[in-house]
Amino acid sequence: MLASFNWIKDFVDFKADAPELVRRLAMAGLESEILSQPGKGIDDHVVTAQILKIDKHPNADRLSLCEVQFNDEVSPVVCGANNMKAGDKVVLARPGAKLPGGLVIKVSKIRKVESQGMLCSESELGLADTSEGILILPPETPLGLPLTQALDLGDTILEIEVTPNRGDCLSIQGLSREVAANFHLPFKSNETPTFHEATGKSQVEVNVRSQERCGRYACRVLSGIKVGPSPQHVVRRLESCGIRAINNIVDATNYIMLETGQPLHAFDLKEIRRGQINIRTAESGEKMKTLDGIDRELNCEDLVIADGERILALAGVMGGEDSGVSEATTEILLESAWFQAGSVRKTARRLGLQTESSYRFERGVDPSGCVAAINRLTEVILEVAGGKVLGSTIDHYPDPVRPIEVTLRPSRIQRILGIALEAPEIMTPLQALGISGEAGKGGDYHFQIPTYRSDLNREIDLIEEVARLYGYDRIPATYPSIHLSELLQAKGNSFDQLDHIRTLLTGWGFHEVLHYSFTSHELLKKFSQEFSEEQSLLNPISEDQSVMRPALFPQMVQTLQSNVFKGNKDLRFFELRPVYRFDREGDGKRPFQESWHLCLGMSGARRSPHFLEKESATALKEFKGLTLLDLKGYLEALFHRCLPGIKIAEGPLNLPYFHPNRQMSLTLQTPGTQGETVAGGFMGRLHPAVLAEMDVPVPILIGEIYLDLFLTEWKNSIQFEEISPFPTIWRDINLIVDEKTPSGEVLRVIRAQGGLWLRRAELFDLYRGKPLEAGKKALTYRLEYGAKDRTLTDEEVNGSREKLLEQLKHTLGATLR
Amino acid sequence: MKEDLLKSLKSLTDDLDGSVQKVQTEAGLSELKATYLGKKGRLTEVLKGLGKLSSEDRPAVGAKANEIKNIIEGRLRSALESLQRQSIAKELAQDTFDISLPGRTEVVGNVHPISQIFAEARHIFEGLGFATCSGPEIEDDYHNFEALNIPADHPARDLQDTFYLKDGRWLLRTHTSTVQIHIMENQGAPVRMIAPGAVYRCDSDVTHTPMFHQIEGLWVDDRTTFGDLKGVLTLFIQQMFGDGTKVRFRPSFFPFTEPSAELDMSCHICAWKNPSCPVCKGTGWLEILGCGMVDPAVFQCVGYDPEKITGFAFGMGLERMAMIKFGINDLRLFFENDLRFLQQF
Ligand SMILES: [Zn+2]
Repeated sequence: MLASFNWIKDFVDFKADAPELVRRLAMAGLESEILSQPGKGIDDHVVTAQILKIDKHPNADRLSLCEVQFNDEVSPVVCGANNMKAGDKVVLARPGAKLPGGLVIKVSKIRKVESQGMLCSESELGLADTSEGILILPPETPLGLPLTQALDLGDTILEIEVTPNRGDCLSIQGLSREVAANFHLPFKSNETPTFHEATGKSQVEVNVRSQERCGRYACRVLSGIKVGPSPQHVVRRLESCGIRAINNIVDATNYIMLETGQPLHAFDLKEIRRGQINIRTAESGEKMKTLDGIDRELNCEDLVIADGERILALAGVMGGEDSGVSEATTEILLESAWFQAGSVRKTARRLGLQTESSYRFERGVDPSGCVAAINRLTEVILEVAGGKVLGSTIDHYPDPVRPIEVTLRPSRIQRILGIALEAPEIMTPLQALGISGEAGKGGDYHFQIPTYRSDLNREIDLIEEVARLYGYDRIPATYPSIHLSELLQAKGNSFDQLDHIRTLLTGWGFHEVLHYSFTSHELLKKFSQEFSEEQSLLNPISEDQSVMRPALFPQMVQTLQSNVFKGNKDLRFFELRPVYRFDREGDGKRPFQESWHLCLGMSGARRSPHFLEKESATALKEFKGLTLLDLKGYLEALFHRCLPGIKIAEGPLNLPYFHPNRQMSLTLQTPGTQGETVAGGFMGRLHPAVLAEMDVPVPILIGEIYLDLFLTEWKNSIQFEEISPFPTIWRDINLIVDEKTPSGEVLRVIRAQGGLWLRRAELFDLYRGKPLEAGKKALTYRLEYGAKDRTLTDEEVNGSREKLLEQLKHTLGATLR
Repeated sequence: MKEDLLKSLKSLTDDLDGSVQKVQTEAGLSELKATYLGKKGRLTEVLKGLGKLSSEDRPAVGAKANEIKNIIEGRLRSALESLQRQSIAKELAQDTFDISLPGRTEVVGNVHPISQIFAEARHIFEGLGFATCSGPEIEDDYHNFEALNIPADHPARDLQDTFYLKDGRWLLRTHTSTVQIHIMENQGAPVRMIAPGAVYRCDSDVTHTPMFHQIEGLWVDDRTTFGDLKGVLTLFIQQMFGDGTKVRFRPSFFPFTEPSAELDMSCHICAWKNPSCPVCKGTGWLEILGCGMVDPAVFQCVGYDPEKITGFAFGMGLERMAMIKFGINDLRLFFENDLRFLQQF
């Protein structure tokens, strides 16, 4: 809320300046900052004055020449505005004045006519961001006063962040009470009002139909009032606290609300039909027009103030347009009531209508304060608008709220805060906040909680209050001791594994990226992602962020695209995040599955070449042209590093957004089973048509890996194999096979049939073209033979190789080249 | 006869010294070696006379011949080495190398700054005895609000505008405090855990992104006090941001802790020296995390006895910490994934 520094000073006579007050409030739990200092920079040469006469400027059509008086002298002033007339009270910046914007006023000649000063607008005075014409002051303004004095300027406006539990601080009085306690100063409450209370029949009959939701309803009629503008200092204070001035009656209700925290309302009495005020729930579909001019349809949950015929106001939220105070109003009904927080909140939320009133009711208004507030309001209105009280005041309060008592055990303070406090350290600050207490038998304290502190109703609430007032900074920091037996350090949690994957990937040049967990339906459709409608958000901020993603790669493609557009080259990205699936088959309790995926995205060169490599054309060629095999290589290495011993197999895939011949699935053998497999992920190169559509001129490679197995089987199967001291023997085999025979299949046969001594086999060369016949390819494999207990002879190795060649010929039709 | 042979042998070494000095190439030295020690070389020539000697003279002359051979070989070797040294020195004298040329390396990528901050925080907390846990991001109202002492229609819900999933029953967690409830529902005290993760709030502008990251912490046993909270979190901040970092604890409000506090750390940018510091707005303090003693209502919800069990909880934003630590001025950069941003960490 916005609060005036000077206004708080009306209630507490403290000496601190605004920055010090901000600091003190912060340490008391009220965060604030200095929002503005209206009038700052206006010096005493800026005074109130009156225009006696206005003539046209002899040499300029748009300018006027005014005769202005602020003391005995009359000064000529040239002015460019046209919103003033003779007799208006205005603001004159005399020669020598300096304005907040830095402008220094001098006697000057404007188009050959002397001007002894300037008539100021609100924006020139720094009182408003924009303004039209010069500032016209109320007619009763005395002449010749420094403006800061006349308008009660020189205030500081604080923006205070009041936490939801401290409804009592949503008023100047409430804040002042905190400030007083903080500075150890007395809090000056308002004096008892002195107006004449009337007797006789009340002008209205009040029926509260929902006692629970309207615990108190006080109202009073004033007659003979004159609606008009409020005094300037009231307007200033309201506006600097963010409330627009309307007229003296509405302004008074707002002013007293800011002062006391009690929302107040004034009805035009003649609009109240049949003399009835009924506090009831609306009927479903019932309509009303609120003060802001909007027609609202209500339902049977909304609490309203109605007369005998229609709805006058939304209880605690906003008044109605019809029953509001207008220029013609002479008799008013003032309302000061207590409405239940939840009731007000429901209506305000449903209608999207948060008002100063609803904000306060939601955070708790003190029901005990209703009458004091209406009395203060009455006093102020009688002062600014005249009139008198008509008929006796109604105060419907059948079940008054009583202060509750809370017991506080000193042992508990020590248990929670870790310090032992003496009685005065506990009692004195609480008493300063109006919380009185006494020590009972057994050393416990019993405190009476005033009704304005509805946030204090448990022992722990009082402990916090004690700590807050004692000062958190005075509670010494201590270091807890842990018994080793309690240490629950989760060794090797999945975060270690995720970090290990990060280490590997960054070592291979991949940068980690991070996308929102929600994306657009459109993007997921573009990449044929299936998902349940249950994964959509009910209230997304935009379509772009409307569905919980079932896969990572669509956004990865977008990120690669946007980086390409920004001119970033040679991209390698990875993302390591959960994806979301709605699963109806679940146990019913949590239908959503969240599982970790890894997505890799690559584009551009395999590696940007070093200048040394540019010297040799062949070396450069080697580093160009990223292929799917690059991505496959990284993924294979990742599996090999993290899940050693688990076999991976690639399988065919037919996804429309990938290049038809550059995509594959990965399947993992489930550990501990007989050949059962589980999906491990997939990869591919984006289809040229998809790239063209996205306007991306470079190939994009995408892989997405399911990490479930990574997290459960992490390096579970590492078994050391002894290193043989005997040398191994290398043999190449150069095979010719059908183009259709996958090289992986050849390798599988080699590994299966290579014999006991085959230690390693890898593809060494792939050749197509002459002298091979069409439809054939040559594959060279390099084989390593060795035994654990001796050096093999050439005959043994050759024999083994011959056997293998025979098998290859038999199973795959492979011939030796 | 014997004397003649010995004289001839001696003259070999004398002649060699003269020849070696004249030779300037390795080939010349090879030639010289052949001339003296080859099959038809001068040494062989001299030794032909050995057969004519008496059997008592032969051993002495033979030994001398061997000695001469070793001397010749040694001199030729050192001449060769000296030539090689000269030629290396000559080669090196001609070589130049620009040590300012760029080194050649593999490209290395970077871990996202949010992950880096988390990893750093995790290592500190694990070192202090916390275990790292996780919980679901798609939540029910109970775990996100009710069990944390935020009943329906409580104004505290305004602080956290919530995303709901289609059917209205499930929501995206607005804070990682949900994990507190999951963990305490499943185990008894003591509990010492941190839980990182994404959280979501229906808010998007210059200083808010609809998704961001938090670390939740919970330390619960039969003896923990507010003083311990101050000690542990001060240790954390000083390990994370440097020993000299000052902290202050300021009263605040969270429905699930009481007493509640905000922890401010000293502004490392201006250190109270710049009244118009853009980072701390001249206050010298940066708000870094929220914390407090676990509210007894939360303990009751998870079936702990609040008379026997006490503890503290805290939550902090990873983006905020990364912004402070790395001096990042725009929250949205974390999610834009521009290579020029990612490369800097
Ligand atoms: Zn600073």
